[in-house]
Amino acid sequence: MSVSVKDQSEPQAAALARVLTGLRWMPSRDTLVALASYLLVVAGLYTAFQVFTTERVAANFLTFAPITLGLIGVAAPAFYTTIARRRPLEDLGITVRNLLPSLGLSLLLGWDTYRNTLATLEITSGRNPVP
Amino acid sequence: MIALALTVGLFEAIFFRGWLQLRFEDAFGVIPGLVLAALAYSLYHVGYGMEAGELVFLFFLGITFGAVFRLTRSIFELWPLYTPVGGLFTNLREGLSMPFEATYGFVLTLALMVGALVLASRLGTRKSAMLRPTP
Repeated sequence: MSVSVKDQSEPQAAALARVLTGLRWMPSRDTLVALASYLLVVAGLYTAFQVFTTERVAANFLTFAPITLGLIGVAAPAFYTTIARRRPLEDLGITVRNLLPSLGLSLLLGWDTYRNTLATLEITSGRNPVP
Repeated sequence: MIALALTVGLFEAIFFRGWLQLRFEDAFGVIPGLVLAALAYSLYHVGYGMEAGELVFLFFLGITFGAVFRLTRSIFELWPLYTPVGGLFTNLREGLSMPFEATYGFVLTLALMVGALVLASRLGTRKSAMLRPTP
């Protein structure tokens, strides 16, 4: 049985359109865990910068960096994905697949950002990128 | 300051793109996932004490970062060469200053993140192997 080009392309186009514009409502346990982790991150940041403030250096730093960024922001999603869901870290975008194109694009965008931002900045004396 | 930009950049790439955006995408679709993750990215800056005008800008920045990430679904499109540059610029422009000792803290936090990722990957692989039926 012969299949015309039109017959093959239409389902692909429809699938692409569905992927690009398709709304769906399929929240799962993952969605709830993601939302909960987001609330924890916001609460962590708020505690670090609005409750402790930068006046209390140790409390501010510990709440902000190791706890909020490190544990809640990175470690928790990683362990949930690999241990609870038994999925690879690729599910978090941590993959060497397409590494060279990714780094190439990153370099290009990073250079463009640098040209438009850091390169235009006048660093006054006493202010150094290395603290 | 560079250590701070790299640490926050890695966190934002993994948490907002790899974690939230892809989970929202699974639940609601590609475009809604992108928009929701950008919204979450913008609103989380409230914790830093940012104002409404800055949040709008950050929403569109989140859309840009999310769209770039979606091209290959790899955080290496954003980190370490792209987003930390902008973060460093913002910190310098706003005159943020830190004691030198803070560098050690952020490098340690970065190491904690990488260590957690390696451990999670190894434990996940081991658990999967244990659960796999033997032939």
